[in-house]
Amino acid sequence: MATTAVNLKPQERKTEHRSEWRRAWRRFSANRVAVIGLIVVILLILMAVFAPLIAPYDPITDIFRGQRGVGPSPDHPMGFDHLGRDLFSRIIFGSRVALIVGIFSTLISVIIGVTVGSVAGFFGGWSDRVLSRIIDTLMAFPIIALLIVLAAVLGPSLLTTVVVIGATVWSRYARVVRADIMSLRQRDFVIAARALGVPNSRIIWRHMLPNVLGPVIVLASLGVGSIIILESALSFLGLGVRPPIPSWGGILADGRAFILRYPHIAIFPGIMIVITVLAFNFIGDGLRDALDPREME
Amino acid sequence: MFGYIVRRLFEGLIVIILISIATFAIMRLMPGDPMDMLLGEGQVRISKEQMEAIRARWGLDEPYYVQYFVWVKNFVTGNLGESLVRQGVPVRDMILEAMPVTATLNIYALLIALGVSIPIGILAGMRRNSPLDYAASVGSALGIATPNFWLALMLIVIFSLMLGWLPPFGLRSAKGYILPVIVLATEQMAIFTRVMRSSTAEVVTQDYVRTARSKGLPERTVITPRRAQFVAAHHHRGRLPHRLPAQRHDHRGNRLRPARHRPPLHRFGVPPGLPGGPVAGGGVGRARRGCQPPDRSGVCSGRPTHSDRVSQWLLLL
Repeated sequence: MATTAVNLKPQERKTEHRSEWRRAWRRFSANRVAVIGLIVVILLILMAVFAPLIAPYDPITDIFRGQRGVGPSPDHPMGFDHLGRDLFSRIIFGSRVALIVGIFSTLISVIIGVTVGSVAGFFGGWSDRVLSRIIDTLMAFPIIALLIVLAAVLGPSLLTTVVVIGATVWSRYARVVRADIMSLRQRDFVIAARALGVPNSRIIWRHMLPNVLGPVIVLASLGVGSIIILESALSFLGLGVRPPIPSWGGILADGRAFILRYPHIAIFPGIMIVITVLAFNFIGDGLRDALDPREME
Repeated sequence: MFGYIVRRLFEGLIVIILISIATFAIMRLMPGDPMDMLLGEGQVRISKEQMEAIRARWGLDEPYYVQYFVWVKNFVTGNLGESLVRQGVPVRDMILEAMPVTATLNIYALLIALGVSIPIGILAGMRRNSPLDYAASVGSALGIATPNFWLALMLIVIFSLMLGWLPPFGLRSAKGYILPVIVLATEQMAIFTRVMRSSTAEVVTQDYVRTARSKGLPERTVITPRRAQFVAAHHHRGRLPHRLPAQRHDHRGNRLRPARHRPPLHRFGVPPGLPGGPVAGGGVGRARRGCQPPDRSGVCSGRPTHSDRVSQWLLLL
């Protein structure tokens, strides 16, 4: 026992800067619900990437004229939509839109939010006052109304959906990062770095951002879920992705129009949205427990 | 404090001004001139001069900042203009018309959400890992992940289409309120339950709760926060039960027995039937749970729970 302990010590010291993440991963992988969420998300990503191979029919061009609104059958597990297209294939292709918007909008908003938050938190003074008011303004705006107007102005498409959502939901990240950076600014290692003449950008990038990464990652993984709901709400209102391209919100909108005659159209996209959002939220919760040891018992 | 309030109010004012500027900017960014909307696309034939006259009449020939101030002035004085969709109806009347309905729906939804989520959240936070806790967690996770517009559709399918109990739309009868209120309440309920659960679970591990419990206060008294704080205020933090005076009363005047009258340790987990007696596995719901029955080795199987640590703490005394 004694010898192994001695042998282990130098190794441990070498990997010390990585062990934090490794421990976080161990805590995360011990969380069954979070791992299930991760598996579901991986499956969804595979489904989106290999959609043409999985989907039995083309989601746009394969139209079964005699089968409009026919319910589920063994050959067509989700039935047909109101135009006679295979719903199963459309749902599979719809995952592409959901994941693209969910992930890329989150990326955009994280980049904007972290930049704004760290500038406001680090420099303080006037830049903080101005940026904080902008953050407050965005937070006070009813986000869905803002999205509707912006989508109407720019014209609905996949790109505008991604950009518009990304450009409007960053305020949460900015707030968190700003608060964390402000408290980090007082810490000894930052003061030491300053005293050594390290440029501000390098202090923020090298010394501060790694410390605020945890909460941002947690918020981002929780944010993907809410963005997927936002995207489907936009598509549901006809302001998301343009109609022939299948998206879950769009299929849901078709389902709403025919809810009294073909209720099955609306059921499946909704279930997919719930599963996807649940999976991302589970990952987010697991990450929070893994990255924030304060909450651990 | 006063200065802080003034500053926050001032900041709020700035935010409102920024919102108004953003709203105005977005409106003017909208595709199509307001003229086109007013006239319908190419349906009314009018000359250039007439167009200019109309523009001048509506102030559309002024620079943007003038338009903005006119708009703000009208807004503040309650003049929101007339609807383009419902010709001639003032927008203010349309908003006032819709407001009572929105308010009614949301107040009912909020009341239901609070009424359901606060007790469930507290219970789930108190009894972590119990079936109720799992049910509450699953329910709130589902509630947060469900888009409310889809939930609404599904409820219409179930209750209007299949069962025929409730109208799919309209508020002509009181029944019409049920579905919208449920949909609005679901999301709030999910979020409130989650917040209540996690904050309760956090508070439950605090010292003053432990003190209150170790004194044998009924669980009901412990979880009502102000009472627990009141109780804790009577003792220094970490003061041990066996050093309490021989006879004490809780704030209601119930007699508390001194700690040395607790049952012997081997009777841990067996309700000793000491009414109001401090802790020791009897009476207090929390300490009884967890490691029960303790097997001979004294080792609990499974993960230690909070109540296990309470018991361990008591064993150390």
